[in-house]
Amino acid sequence: MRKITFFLLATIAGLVGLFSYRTSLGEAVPQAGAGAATSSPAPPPGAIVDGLVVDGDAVLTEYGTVQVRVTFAGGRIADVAVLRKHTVHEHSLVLNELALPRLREQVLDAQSAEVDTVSGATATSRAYLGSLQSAIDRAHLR
Amino acid sequence: MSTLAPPRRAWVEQVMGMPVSLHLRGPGLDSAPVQRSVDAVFVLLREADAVFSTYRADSAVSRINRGELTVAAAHPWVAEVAQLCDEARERTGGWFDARLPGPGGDRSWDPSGLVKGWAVERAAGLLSGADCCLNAGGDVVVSTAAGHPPWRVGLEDPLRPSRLADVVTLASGAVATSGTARRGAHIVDPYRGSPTDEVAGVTVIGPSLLWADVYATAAAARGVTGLDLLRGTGYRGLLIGRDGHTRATRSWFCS
Repeated sequence: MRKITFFLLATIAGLVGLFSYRTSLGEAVPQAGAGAATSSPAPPPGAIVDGLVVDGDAVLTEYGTVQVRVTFAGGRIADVAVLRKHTVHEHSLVLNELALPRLREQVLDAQSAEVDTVSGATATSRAYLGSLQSAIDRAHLR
Repeated sequence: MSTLAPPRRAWVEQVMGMPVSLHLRGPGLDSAPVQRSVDAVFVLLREADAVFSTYRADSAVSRINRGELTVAAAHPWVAEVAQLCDEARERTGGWFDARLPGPGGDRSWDPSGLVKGWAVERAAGLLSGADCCLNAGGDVVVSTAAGHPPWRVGLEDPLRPSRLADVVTLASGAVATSGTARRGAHIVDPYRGSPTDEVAGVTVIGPSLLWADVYATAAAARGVTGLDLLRGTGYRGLLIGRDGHTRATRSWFCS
């Protein structure tokens, strides 16, 4: 359990850097990670253009290295991808409530992610009416 | 980075008791040949429903369960599906089982858990690699034409259905989700014969919708260790437990 906590804290530390980067636009130059294996340099402030891709700091944890890549579109975060992550667990790794997919979700939810379709447990007709999938369908019906 | 979005059109019909959405991308989506292909997709799904529905007294499956029809004498799809059900039980170590315990203690044959994936995959095959996304009640098959962007598939968070648990991009393949979010505990543990709800939702991604769906159902029945069933299959999965913990195969992040 302590290992998981450490892993999470390290992950969150990485993401905090990511979020503070976004909210600090126009105020300060984003921090480049000290000694981190980033694959692209942090851009100057005001340089958020469509398609800008920024790699976060690689955070070394007891479990391995975690690094995220953020893609901007329309001046907003469009996607967050996990570039590197590995773990000592054998096959299925356990992620806590706040671990990678959820952190990714929180970003995407806040930005109302643009998706083409939605996978979920069998939707009944009633559940479909108010669903994201029905909104996507309506946008493309003729 | 920013690809010009190709023209896109959607068709939605209610089949097998669920909404089925077909999206196509590319030119000529209002042409008669495209409409014929779309019609063929829905015709096949309706025919599968007529043969396999356990809600219809006159379906082949209902008649087989009443002893009025044999598998051999039924529509040829029935023997194909029966064989796939056996294969699914073997591949999942018994965690997928179409022989459900009935109210009287007798086991009835209910291939619904496999038929949906089988039928939707077969229907998508009628479009022969067109740029399409077929979503049947949350189970998805996609294929992408050269030069078009892959499809972005949002995964509904089973604990908070108005939110997404993850988003995956997929050029070709299938995404199946099983769980108790929408319909309550309808997944039966084949070993105990009782409903199970340890898993809120599990999503499996791989080349075939039939097998993604079988593995997702089996993983949900098995519980929080369900993703172990995917070992060596080439399929990847994300499982969210009622305990709020998320589990993923290592391969989940590698694509």
